[in-house]
Amino acid sequence: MSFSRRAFIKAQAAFAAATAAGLPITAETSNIITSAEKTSLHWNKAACRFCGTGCSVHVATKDGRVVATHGDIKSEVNRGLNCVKGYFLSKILYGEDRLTQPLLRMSNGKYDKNGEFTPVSWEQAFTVMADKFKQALKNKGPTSVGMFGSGQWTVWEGYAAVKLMKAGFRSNNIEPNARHCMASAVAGFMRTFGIDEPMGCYDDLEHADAFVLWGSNMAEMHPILWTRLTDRRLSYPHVKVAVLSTYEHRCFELADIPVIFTPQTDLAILNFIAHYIISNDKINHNFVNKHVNFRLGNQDIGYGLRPEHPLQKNAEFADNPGGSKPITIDEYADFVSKYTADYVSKLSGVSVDKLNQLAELYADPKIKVTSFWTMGFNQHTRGVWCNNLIYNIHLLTGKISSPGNSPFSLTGQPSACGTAREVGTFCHRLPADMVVKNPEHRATAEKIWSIPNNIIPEKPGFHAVEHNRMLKDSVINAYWIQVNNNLQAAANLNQEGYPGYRNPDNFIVVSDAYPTVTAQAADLILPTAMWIEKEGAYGNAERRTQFWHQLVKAPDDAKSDLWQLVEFSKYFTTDEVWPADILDKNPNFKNKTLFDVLFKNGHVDQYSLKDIAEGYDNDESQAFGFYLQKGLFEEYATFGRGHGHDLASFEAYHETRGLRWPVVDGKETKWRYREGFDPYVKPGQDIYFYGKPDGRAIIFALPYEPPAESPDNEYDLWLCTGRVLEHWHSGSMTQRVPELFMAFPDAVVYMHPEDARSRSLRRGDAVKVVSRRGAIQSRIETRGRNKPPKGLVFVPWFDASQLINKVTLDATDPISKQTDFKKCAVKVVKV
Amino acid sequence: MPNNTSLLPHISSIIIYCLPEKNKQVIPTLQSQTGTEVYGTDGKGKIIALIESPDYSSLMNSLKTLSHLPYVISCQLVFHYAADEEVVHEFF
Repeated sequence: MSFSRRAFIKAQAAFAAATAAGLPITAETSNIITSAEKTSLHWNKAACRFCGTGCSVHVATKDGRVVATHGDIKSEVNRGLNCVKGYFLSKILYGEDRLTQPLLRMSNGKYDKNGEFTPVSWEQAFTVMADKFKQALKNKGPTSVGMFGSGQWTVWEGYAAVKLMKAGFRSNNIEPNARHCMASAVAGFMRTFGIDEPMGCYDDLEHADAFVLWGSNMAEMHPILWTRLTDRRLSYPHVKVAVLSTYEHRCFELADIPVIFTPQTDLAILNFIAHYIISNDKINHNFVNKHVNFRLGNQDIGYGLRPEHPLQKNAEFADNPGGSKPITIDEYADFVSKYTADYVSKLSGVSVDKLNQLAELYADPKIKVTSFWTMGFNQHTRGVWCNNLIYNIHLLTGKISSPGNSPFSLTGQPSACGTAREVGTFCHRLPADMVVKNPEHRATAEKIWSIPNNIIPEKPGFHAVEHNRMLKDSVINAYWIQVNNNLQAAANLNQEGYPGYRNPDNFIVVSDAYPTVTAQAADLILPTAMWIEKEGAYGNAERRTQFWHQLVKAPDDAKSDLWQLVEFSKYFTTDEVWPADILDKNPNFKNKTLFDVLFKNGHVDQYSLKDIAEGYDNDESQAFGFYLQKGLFEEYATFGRGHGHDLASFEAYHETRGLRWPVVDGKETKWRYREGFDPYVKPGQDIYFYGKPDGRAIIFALPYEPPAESPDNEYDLWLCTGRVLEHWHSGSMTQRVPELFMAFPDAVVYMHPEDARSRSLRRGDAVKVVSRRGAIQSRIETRGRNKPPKGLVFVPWFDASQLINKVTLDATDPISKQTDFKKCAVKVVKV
Repeated sequence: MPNNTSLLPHISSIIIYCLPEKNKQVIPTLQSQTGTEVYGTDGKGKIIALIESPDYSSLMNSLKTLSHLPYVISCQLVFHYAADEEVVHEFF
């Protein structure tokens, strides 16, 4: 690098940091513009590949490779900052074992489930795969095929998958891995408000007087949002931060009110706060009278285990876990009155004093309070209840839908919102919060898709946990996994996960960029393009949809999930997969490929390649001859426009750093349901929860109920699982970045030093973590970033050599079907 | 004109957050770290520094070291330029 070029780059670097920090910059650097000729670098924006915060990065490419990144200064989300994972985005594409060719298990030149992985062409791969899917469909019908997708799919990938499964194969067995992360939040929204996703936005961070973290380790999991929260707290001395968790983590460094509670007792604490608000006469009566209804939810609803399980057989409302009936406010007050400070303190282990301090943050009308939660609430056998209960206390006080007053459900994945939830990639859903059970919703979808009536099946398919059970039971026989590592991610690997993948009745296809544990257990591996190797769109936690262009090419024969889905559709005809009676009634659909009816349907194929912005590759569109992403997006946007889910035009998202929906007349919505901010609320209405027919949100009376499996004499410790800052999910990307790997190479068992001592264990000892279901080997850490109380251990799940999900239990919230990864019983023994 | 051995291929900028009242102590400590140059400060809790390193590992080590300096709360990465191939091209 020449000296002057070096000086230029240093100045550029300094400029970026100074701007991000809000510091004045010297005259020389402020004159520097990112000039392509000076550095021969080509800079473009992209959404970060990792968490639901949805930061924007600026990516520089040169000669077809990513060479530099920095936090996008123009982003309202991260304002030039990146966390350590985002910082190394440029390296995730270049792991040494990147998959570049389709690999099929073969012996003697033919497919063999017990054969070795052998390189094949895409055509060979899809031919075998189509054959397997057709066999399953012919033998057992649409319930025997399945797809497991992702909150890391781009918006149009999820949408194409929904069309292929529900309209093409007529199967509702499509689920995203977001079922493991956000399902409880979604069900909570639908029950309380009738429509999904937070009503506030990240701007609440700069307005709140108090922050309460409920089972959310923002410092490691949403680091940039934590930076903004820290900034607010340190700049304004009156601001208070309360952190609630079952173990001490990094957020506790900033906590004014640190709270460790016994697992599951968050339910009781939430009810205590409601009781405190009522008994101290801090209800906002004006708000509650106008905007709230009260209901009593069904109790004793089971744990989502297999029906034969005694816990399920004994549960009163296992068959109707989501049911409820109307009650009065007085009946609600009576219901929560049993959650006194003394009772809850005994149950939870939290002092009366702390409980009162916490409750006062909500009760004091002068304090604007923002509540944040993620997996502590959602990965919970009563996760939907937790979500409903946190809304209760914001609704009782009217602290909602205004700057700083915000019950904010944080999203884990980069597009669980934008793709999985908004597009509806679930066994029971369609786009824009519609459901397959509703005949009007199905008819709307069939109309938008220009397909005959009665194509979309009415009965919801199997949910995520059931996918594994049905694979094991040979009910699902042809299965496609995209953008996830579910064998590593799903609970109860030994008993329920692995047997299904290796079941000889089943054909498993995995699309991935790297040979993950899941890929290695599959029968066919499809090499997949990543991140900026394709034109993409994500929707983050604050409803901000963000786009990026394709910036580099995928290596060798790797192709994007979108290309795979659309290309695969060419291998099927309507005669093969649609019922004869429907085809007889609609003869012009006879003898068409699924590609014709799903993607060349006059809508998806209506935009020409000329619409692609100049200078950008778009390999999928080139392959199919039309602007595929734009066509899919605009068809999809039809579902939501005018129905509270309005998206802007396709071009608008390429031009901006994202927009928060509903976007009406080019204007985004920061606070929903509030007059003046939300275009759907009419003048004079003030607040209107338009997801409900009468505009009223619902406060649910719901109790504390114990977890599915608690520690006992033999398995005497709680096991909680989760993530660490340096690694994303199962580590398939971050473990391959040498710097991130070195920062945190192996999983450990975080344990209280006295628990270690009493088991004759020392820091660093090799141990086995054992449950009724399986065991792993790991090492003890007693002085790490996580400091569990006595009686609990924490193990992160990023490490493919320590599959902690061999140990966990596949109990779920019966309403959301989301697995509780935070509570089961284990023992820890020396090796 | 600096000699070739000091022209290291990795250039990064970081924001260092420190205790506001210790700003004057932190800056010289930063300046004494190899490859680290202080570019600016608000005189309180924020300092901008540039780091030049021979490779990624050194960069990570530098960041760790800086994070653990007295009165430093945290380091925030902003910009990173990695010019491995270019260096080879320019020098040879």
